[in-house]
Amino acid sequence: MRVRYALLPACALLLAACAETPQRPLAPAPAPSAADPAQSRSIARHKALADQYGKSGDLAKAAVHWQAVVLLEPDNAANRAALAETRIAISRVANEQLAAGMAAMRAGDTDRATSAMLKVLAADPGNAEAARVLREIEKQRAGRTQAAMAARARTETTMLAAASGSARNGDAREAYELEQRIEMFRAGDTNGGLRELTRFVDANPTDKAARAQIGSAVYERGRDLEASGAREEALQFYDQAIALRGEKVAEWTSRANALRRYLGNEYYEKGLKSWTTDRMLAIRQWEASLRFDPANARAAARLAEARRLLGNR
Amino acid sequence: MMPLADRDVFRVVVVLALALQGCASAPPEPDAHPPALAVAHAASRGPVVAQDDDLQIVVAQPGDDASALAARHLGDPGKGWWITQFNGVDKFTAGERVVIPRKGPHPLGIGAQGYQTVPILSYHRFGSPKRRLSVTGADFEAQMEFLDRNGYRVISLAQFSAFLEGREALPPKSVVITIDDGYKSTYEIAYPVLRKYGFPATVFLYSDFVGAADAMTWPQMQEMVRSGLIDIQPHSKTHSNLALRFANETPAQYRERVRLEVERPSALISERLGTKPVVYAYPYGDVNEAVVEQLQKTGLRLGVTVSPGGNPVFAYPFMLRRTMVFGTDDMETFKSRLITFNRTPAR
Repeated sequence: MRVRYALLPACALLLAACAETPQRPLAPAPAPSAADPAQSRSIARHKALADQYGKSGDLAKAAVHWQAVVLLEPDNAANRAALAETRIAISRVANEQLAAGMAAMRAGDTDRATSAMLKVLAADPGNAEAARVLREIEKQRAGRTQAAMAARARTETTMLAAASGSARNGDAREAYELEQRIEMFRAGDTNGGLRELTRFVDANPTDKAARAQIGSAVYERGRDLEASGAREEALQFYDQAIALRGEKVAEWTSRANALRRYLGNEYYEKGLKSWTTDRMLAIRQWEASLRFDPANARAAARLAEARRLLGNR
Repeated sequence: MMPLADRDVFRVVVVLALALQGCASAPPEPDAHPPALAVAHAASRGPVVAQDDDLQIVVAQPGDDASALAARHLGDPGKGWWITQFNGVDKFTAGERVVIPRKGPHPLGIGAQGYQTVPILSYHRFGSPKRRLSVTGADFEAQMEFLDRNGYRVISLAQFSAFLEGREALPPKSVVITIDDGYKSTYEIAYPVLRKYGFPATVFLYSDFVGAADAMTWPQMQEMVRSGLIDIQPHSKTHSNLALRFANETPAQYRERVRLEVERPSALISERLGTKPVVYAYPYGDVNEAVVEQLQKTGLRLGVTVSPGGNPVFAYPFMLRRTMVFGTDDMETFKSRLITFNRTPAR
C-alpha cells in the first residue's frame, strides 16, 4: 500500500511537468468536433489556403496548411491523403527543378538556373543545394556590378585614361561620388574633403561641370572663413578653389587679389608696430607682407631699410 | 500471481507511460494520425486544442489579436505577424481556432510569385538647405511616418543578417535604415525621429570625421548606442576609395591602406562604444575582392555598396545593395525606392 501511495505524487509531478504551463489562466478548450462551427470555419479557411497555395505552385505553404487541416480534423482520411500528395509533389518538383537548374549552371545559363532554383526553393525551402547555387549566382552578379569599380583599383593613371573619354561624365554614380566629397568638405573635414576633391579632379580633369562645382564649394568655404576673420586660411581656399576649377573666374581672382593686398598691408602695419620693440619680428612681418603682396612697395622699402640697418651693425 | 501492490504499481506505470507518450511530440508522419493530446487533455490544458512539431491549434480568447496570441504562445508579441500571415487574418473572435506556426514561416521568403527583398536605405546628412545628400528634418519625418503607417517594418541590420544566414524570417515589407558618415545632424535631427517611431538604424562612421565641425561626438554616439535603437559600424578611416589604387601607391602600399581603412575604424568603434562591428560600408560604395578579403580577416560579416535595389535572402553578403535617399526626392520617389518583393515568378 505504501508503495502505491508513494507513486501517486510522483505520477502527478511527472504529468504536471509534462503539461504545458499556461502563461495566464485559460478557458477550457472545447473538444473539436465536426459540428463545432468555430472548428469548421478554421478547417475551411486552411483548406482554402492549402488549395490556393497548391494551385499557385507554393507547395511548401500548401503542405503546411494541409498539416493544419489534419491537426484540426485528425480523423479525415482525405485531408491526410492531400497532405501526403502535396509532399510527394514537393519532392518531385524539387528534384526535377534541381536537375534542370544544375544543367543550366553547367551550360553557363545563370538566368535559367536562377529560375529553376527559385522553383526548387518555392517548393522545398529547406533545399540547401538550391540555396547554395542561388547564392553563388548572386555573388557572380554582384561581382559583375562592381567590375567597373574593381577596374579602378588598378591605378589613377588608368583612371585618367578612362576619364578622358565621355563614359564617366554625367554618370549618376559620378555625381554621387562628387557630392559625397563636397559634403565631407562642407561638414568640416576640410583636409579629408580637399584630399578627396583633389583626387576627383585629378581623375576627371576634363569634367568642367564637376570642377566648377568643386571650385565653388571650396570658394564658399573661403568666403565663410574670410567673414569670420580667418583671412590667411581664406586666401588658401581661394587659391585652391581657382586651381581646382582650372579656369579663371574674375570674381574669385579679384577677391583673392584684394585679400592678398589686405594681408600685405596688415603685415606691413604689424611690422611697423614691432620695429621699436622687436626688429627681427618686424622683418619677418614685412617678409610675410611681401609674400602675400609682392607689389607692396612700402613693405619692400621698409624691409630693405631694416636689413641695411641690421646688416650695418 | 502478482501481489496486489505490484499489480497497482504496474498499472500506475503503464498509465504514466501512456500519458508521457501522449505528451511527447512525435515527428508527424503523413499517413499517421497526429498526436492527439488535444482532445484528451483539452480541459486541463486550456485552449491548446492540438499540436505537432510545427503547429499548435489554440482557441482564441476574448480580445485576442495576433500580438496577444504570439505573446502567449510564442513568447514574443513581435511574432504576431507569423500568426497573421499563417491564418490570413489578424483579429480573432473568442472561441475561434487559430493556428500558431511554432517555428515561423520558412526564413527564405521565396514563393511561387517571387521572393522577398529587403531595401537598405542610405541617408547622409539632415537639415536645410535641401541638397541631394541632405534630407530636411520635415522630409525625413514624413518618410518615417509613411513607413509606419503603411505596414513597413523597420528592422535592424542584425535582424537582416540573421535573415541572410537563413536563421530568421522577416516580416513582409521589411526595410533597413542606414545613415552614412556620422554627421551631427544624425544625432540632432534623425535620432529624435527614429526614437519617436521606435525604428532601429545603423550609422556608418568614417572615423577621421569625428572632431570635424559637423560631425557627431563620441558621447552623442554612446548615447544613441545605449538607446538600443542605433548601432555604429565602420565606414573607413578617411573615406578614401578602397577599390582605387592611387598612382603613387605600390600594390603593397595599397593593401596596407585597405587594411588600415578597415581595421582602424573597427577597432576605434569597439574601443569607444564597446560594440563589435560586423558590417562595413564601402566609401562611395566601391569594393573589390581585395577589400572583401580584408573585411573577412577583420571579422566583418557584411559589406554594403551603393548599388540600388532590394536584397534577397541569397544576396552576396559582402556586396549588398543599398539605395540612397536623396534630399531632392519627393515622396513618390521615396516610395519607389522601397522594393520589398521581386515579382519574378518562380513558376
